[in-house]
This record gives sequence, structure tokens and C-alpha cells, in this order.
Amino acid sequence: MSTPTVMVLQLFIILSYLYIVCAYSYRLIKYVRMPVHLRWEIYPVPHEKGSKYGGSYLEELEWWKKTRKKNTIKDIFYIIKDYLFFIQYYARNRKYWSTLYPWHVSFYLIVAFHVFIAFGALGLIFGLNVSTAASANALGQALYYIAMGCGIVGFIIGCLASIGMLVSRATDADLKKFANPRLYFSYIFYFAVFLSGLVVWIFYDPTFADYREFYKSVATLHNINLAAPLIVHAVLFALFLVYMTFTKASHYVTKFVIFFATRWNDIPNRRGSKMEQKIQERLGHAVSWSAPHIQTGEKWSEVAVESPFSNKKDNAK
Amino acid sequence: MTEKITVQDLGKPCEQLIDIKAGSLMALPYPYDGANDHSTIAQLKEEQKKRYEASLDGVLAIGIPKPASPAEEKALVAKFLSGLSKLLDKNDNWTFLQPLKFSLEYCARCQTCNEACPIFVSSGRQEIYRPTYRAEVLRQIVDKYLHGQSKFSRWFLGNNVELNWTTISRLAELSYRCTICRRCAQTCPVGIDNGLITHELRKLFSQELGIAARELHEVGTMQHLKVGSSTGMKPSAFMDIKKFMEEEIEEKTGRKIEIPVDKKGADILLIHNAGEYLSWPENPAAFAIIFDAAGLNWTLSSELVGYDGVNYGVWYDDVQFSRIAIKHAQIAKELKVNKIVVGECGHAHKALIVIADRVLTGDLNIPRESCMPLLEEIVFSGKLKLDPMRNNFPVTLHDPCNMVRLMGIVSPQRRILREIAPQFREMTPHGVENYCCGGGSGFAIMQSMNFPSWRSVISGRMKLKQVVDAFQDVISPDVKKFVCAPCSNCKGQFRDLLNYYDVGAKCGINYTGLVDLIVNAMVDLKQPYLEVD
Repeated sequence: MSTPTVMVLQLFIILSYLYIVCAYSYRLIKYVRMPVHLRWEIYPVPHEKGSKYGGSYLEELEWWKKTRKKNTIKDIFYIIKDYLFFIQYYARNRKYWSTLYPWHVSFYLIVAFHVFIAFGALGLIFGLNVSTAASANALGQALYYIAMGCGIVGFIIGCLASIGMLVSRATDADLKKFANPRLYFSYIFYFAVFLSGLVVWIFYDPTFADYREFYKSVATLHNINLAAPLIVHAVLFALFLVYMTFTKASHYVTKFVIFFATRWNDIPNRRGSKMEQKIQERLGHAVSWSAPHIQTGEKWSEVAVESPFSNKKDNAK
Repeated sequence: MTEKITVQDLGKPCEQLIDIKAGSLMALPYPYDGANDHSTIAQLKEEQKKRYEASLDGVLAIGIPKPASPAEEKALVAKFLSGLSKLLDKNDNWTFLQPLKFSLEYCARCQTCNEACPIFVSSGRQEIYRPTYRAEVLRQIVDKYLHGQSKFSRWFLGNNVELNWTTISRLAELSYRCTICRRCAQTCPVGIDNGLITHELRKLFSQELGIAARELHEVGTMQHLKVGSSTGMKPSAFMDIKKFMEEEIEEKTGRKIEIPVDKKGADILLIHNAGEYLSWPENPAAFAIIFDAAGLNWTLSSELVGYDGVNYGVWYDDVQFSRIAIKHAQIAKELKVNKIVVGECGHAHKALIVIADRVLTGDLNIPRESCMPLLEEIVFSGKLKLDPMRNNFPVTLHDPCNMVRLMGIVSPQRRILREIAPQFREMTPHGVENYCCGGGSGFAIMQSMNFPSWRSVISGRMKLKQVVDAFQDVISPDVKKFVCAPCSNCKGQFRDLLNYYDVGAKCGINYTGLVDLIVNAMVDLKQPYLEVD
């Protein structure tokens, strides 16, 4: 069993990871469950036949008589490409991309590092040899090398890019105008997270074997002796994930929803469809807007057919 | 001064937050380069300054009267806050809640969108015209005044905007310094829509405070619903114009066409922007010539609202928008037509075909489409005998934002022009990346005080540059050339813009609709339809 101190640390790691799953799920559900809205798409929409030049099905004569050809794979491919390479930033704001992109790559890498460390820890529990030893099989060696690669590259790029972001935010006139203390805190905090990983690798745990053992102990709640810098990094990384849920950075989760629900949402409303049901449900709710041309308190469906010149309050008098 | 302006400055009283100097504007190409650029924004009269809130940029689009007392100011501020709560309520604002909340919560402050904004760039990058500026003001007000932040949170998140009457009155005017072309939204890597924030701000002011541009509300949607058209045209006047168009058609083409009106059971109900009947009757007349030659079974409507396809509600008020869209659908239902076809009007396209799609349910959900694919079908069907050499002059195409970027109707009009106009050339950029004409979101019809000059100098500047650039190789006024603008509001803006810069005399550039060019190419016409010279 763990000592109380180690157990607190282990529980903190477990709870923070559970929190992250809950927080992101909550955000996603919150957005997904928002009411259907009016169409507000912007072209080009990748799933459309004419996406190369920005065309839509509305270019076709009597489009409603034709079977809609929608290629959702193209939407997904676009999103993945954007997540991986930040193609929009690359195309529209190359200077910012040159710092932003490596910064985000370092996020991907530090998360991947922890995922592979966690898999490695699971492997250890099930008797897998995760090392470079000849006795280790291909999976064990792969977990070892991938985790190490992601960690080292991620920590180095993360340190440099966090400084880069801080400098560009503080020196670029446009970026500086819209900066706030939280943004600067974030860059410094993220730098500390990456730096702590770098320190662990250089001075304390060059193969991350101890770190993997720590994650094994988190899964089994067994005691372990850890060098302080490893604890610092594990705690900072957990805090980093938790902190992200309080920042705008969680747009990498919600962006997915907004692209599909608004920007590319060109689903036509057909009679008798689910969409129509959703709209009718919304039209049944009362309106509380109070400008003179709106009959406050009536349902949307009533207000929308009412004359702006008829005021029920006046009529009642 | 401009360089130093911050978001919190919006709430700090001063005579005028920015003063746009002519020399700071984006440079124009020949023949408007250097000293030849005489663009200046007209100054307000002292009396106007005293009466209205003009401290934003010395320009008045809506012209909010100054409150009579501090108590009135306080009441307006309270009303703004109550409207803001409704804007974030799922029942009051189901229409745009999801994209609005996302845009308020997730902007990464990367400023990528700014360079996409023609108003920001044209103005010489005036701080308050940044797409992110008004959005950031609203975001801070929401955080600070609706979420009840602690002092530390306000500092940490940089929410320094003060909510007072100065902020609100400037914000109201500022919501009419964006054409909602949504180029910024198209550019945003994250999916933030600052154009939507402008739309929602206008909505808050209209639906809660009853504040809106007079041309959009009082003599816009209200007049549309009361008299039948936002132009003030009554059904009897519409019928007179119909007769006039028939006479004009006969005179110009030798054809005797009876334009069908209120024909029950027609296949198509064609709806035009009523501005066409008054300003450019040759455009609806050209539709009549084409539809007649193609043998279509179609009709116009003389019902109140039915002969005017505009829907200004789409720019500022969801309730007014819904009322007009439903009226259009009800008229089509009464006429028992198979579909509604929208004429050359960009915002009417988007309003009735796309946005109203989630307002019209049941038997009001009548199929609706753009005139563009229909015209494409007719042109390539061989039903019209066309001679492209009749259009043998340089032509470029303006892409109305509503029809192109916001509906994806890009190709049909280009295919037609390539077929009928041998000297067709594109602007740069074009298609879904086009620039707004500068008259979008109602600007083209807003004639309040000195706003028209701001529209020509600032919001239309990028389009002027594009048009003049497109014709640089034939810029001499001796070479007559056309901008094809298949949108009534865009044409209104071109009329004013070209007039302001005397583009006809200096460059020989005029504007026209697409159907006008099609009819001009018809070989069996006695005389040219377009007056090229």
C-alpha cells in the first residue's frame, strides 16, 4: 500500500484525469444539446460536390428532387488535416502559425507521451518488458521508444514554443492589444510544465522508467519512491490538463461541434423530418423580447405571424 | 490616437473616439492613386452632433437621440443588460444561440480575421473597425456584468470595459460599421463568427431597445409589412409598373409579352427585390423576356409583401425576418405554385432559401431556389438564340456575399458569362473569397446623414479597388465596360460608389444585372438591350 503522501499524489492524478473527462464531456454535451438554430453556413463546405471552388447543392436546378450527395469523409478529413497541420493558420496567418503550430504540436506530444507511458505502465502490470533489452518484444520496445521520442521532442519544442508565444504576444502590436494576464500566465505555466519534463529527462530519469513505474503505482495504488522532480512534473501535467478546461483552449474539442453544427451545416429542412420536429418544438416557446413591435409573452409561432402593429396589451385595454 | 485605442476606451466619454483622416486610407489604383484620391467623409452638422450620439467616429448610421436625463441613460443601460440575457437564453434566442455562445467563449485572440475585413483594411486599419473589437467589447460585458466576476477575475481576464451609456450608444453605431459579409468568419481557424456577433448586437438593440437603422426597421420591415414593400410601393403602383415594363419590352424588343401576375397553379412564383421595379425595371423586364422565350409557366404576385422579395429582418431582427419569410411562403401557398424562384437579390436569396428554411414548416415549406441555376439551364438549353458578340465588351462579375460565400452559388453565373460575354474577366479575389460591395447588411439603402459618404469612402473602397484593378488593361473611359452585379442591393451600392468616384467618366465602367446581359445577347432583339454608350 502507498504511504499517505504518495496516495494523495496518486489520487490527485486519478481525480484530475477523471475531472478532465467529465469537463470535456460536459462542454461537448452542453453544445450538442443546445437548440437547433437557423442555418448559417459558410462556403466552401468540404462535403459538397463543388467544395473545391465553394459550390453547394443550391447550384443545382430543383435540388430538392435530387438525392443529396454528401461526402462526410471529406469533412472529417479536413478537420483531421486542420488539427494535425493547422492549415487555416498556415494559409491565413503564416507568421503566427510558425509559433502556434509547434506549440500545439508540443501539446500533442506531451499528451501522447503520457498516453504511451500509461500504456507502458499497463504493460508492466501484465508482465510486459518495456525497455530496449533484448528480452523485450516489439510492443515493449515500441512503447519505450515512442514514449521517449514524444516526451523528449515535446518537452524541447514546448519550452521553445511557449517562450515564442509569450514573446510574440508581448511584442506583436495586434496580439498585444488583445492580451490579458491570463494569456501571459498560461504561456509561463505551460513553459513550466514542459521545462519540468525536460529536467526529469536530463537529470533524473533519462529512459522514463521511473515515470512509467509511477504510473504503474497510480494504477495499482502501490507505494513508490520518486524523485521530487518527477512528482513535480506529474502534478504540473495533471494541473495543465485541468487548467486547459478553464481556458479557451478547449476549443479544440468544441470546434469540432461548431464546424459540423454551424459552419458546414447545410442540412435542408424537409417536411415531416426530425429537423422539422425540432423547429416546431422551438416555435412553441414563448418570447420575452420587449421592443414595441413584439408581442411579449406569446409563442414564437404566434409572434411570427402577428402584425408588428398589433399590440395585445393595447387591445386588452 | 487610433493606434492607442483600446477596448475599454469605448466606454470613456470624449467628443469623438476616432477621426478618419483621408491620408490614412488604403491606397487606390490608377486613376485614383496618390493625389487623385479625393475621398473624404462628410462632416456632420453641429446641430446633428448635438442631437445624436456621434462620438464613435463622427458618422451616423442609426442616429440615436441623446437621452434627456441620467435616469433615461440608466434605464437604457438596464434594458441593454436585460436584452443581453435574452440573447443568451435558449428560448428567446434559439435562432442563433449555439454559434453565438461559441463565438463569445472561444476566440483565441489571434487576430487572423482582421486582414480579411475590407472595412478594417480600407479604413487604414482603424482600431474600432477590427472584426475582433466589437466582439471583444461584447464578450467583456457578458463576462463582467452577466457572469458576476470577482475583482481578481476581471483583472486576470482583462475585462475592463465599463458598461455605461457611452459604451452602449457607441456599440449600437459600431454594429452598423460591419456589412456582415462574414469574410472574417470564413477566415477564422477556430470557427469564431464576428459577423454573427454584429448581427446579434443589432438584434439585441432592435428586439429589446427598439433601436435600429430607420431604413431597415421603420421604413424597412415595418413599411414592408404595412404597405407591401419596403420601397413604399403599393399593389396599385406595382401593377402600373408591370404595365410600364410590358410597354418597354414591346418598344425595345418588338415582343408583346403579358407579364403574368397572381396566376394560380403556375409552376414558378418569381420574387424580385422591389427596388428593381423602381430603379432598374429593365431587370425584371429581362426576366420576363427570358422566361417567356423559354416557355416557362410562371407568375409574379401583387399581394402585399409578395411583390417585394427583400427581407431586411435578416440583418437585424429575427422576428421581423420570420414575419416576412412566412408572408412570402403564405403567398406562394395561396397561389399553389410548385416553387419560389428568387430574382437577382443576394440577401433575398439567403433569407428565403437558406435562413427561412428553419422557420418554414409543414405546407409553408415550399421548394425555393435561386434564379441562377434556372437561368443556366435556359441559356444552355438552346431555347434562346444568343450571340456573345453582342456583349463584346469587358465584363467582370461581382459575387454577392449572400449568394456566393453564404449559399455556395458560384458556378452557374460564371458559366453563363463565359458563354455570353467573350471579354469576361474575374476580379481578385473572387467566388467565395470575394469582397463585399460595401453595401451589405442594409448599408446600400441607408441614407442617414453622413453615412452614405462613409459607405463610399470606407465600406465600398475595397470593391472599388477590385473593380478598377480588374479593368486596368482597358481603364480608358473610351472603352465601355460593365460590372455584372446579380444583386439589387449590390447594384444600389455600385450606383452610389461609381457616382461618388465619377467612375463612369474616368474609367468608362458601368454596372448591370446578369439577365440584362443575357437579353442583350439575344439575336432576335431589334436593338441592344443595354445602353453601352
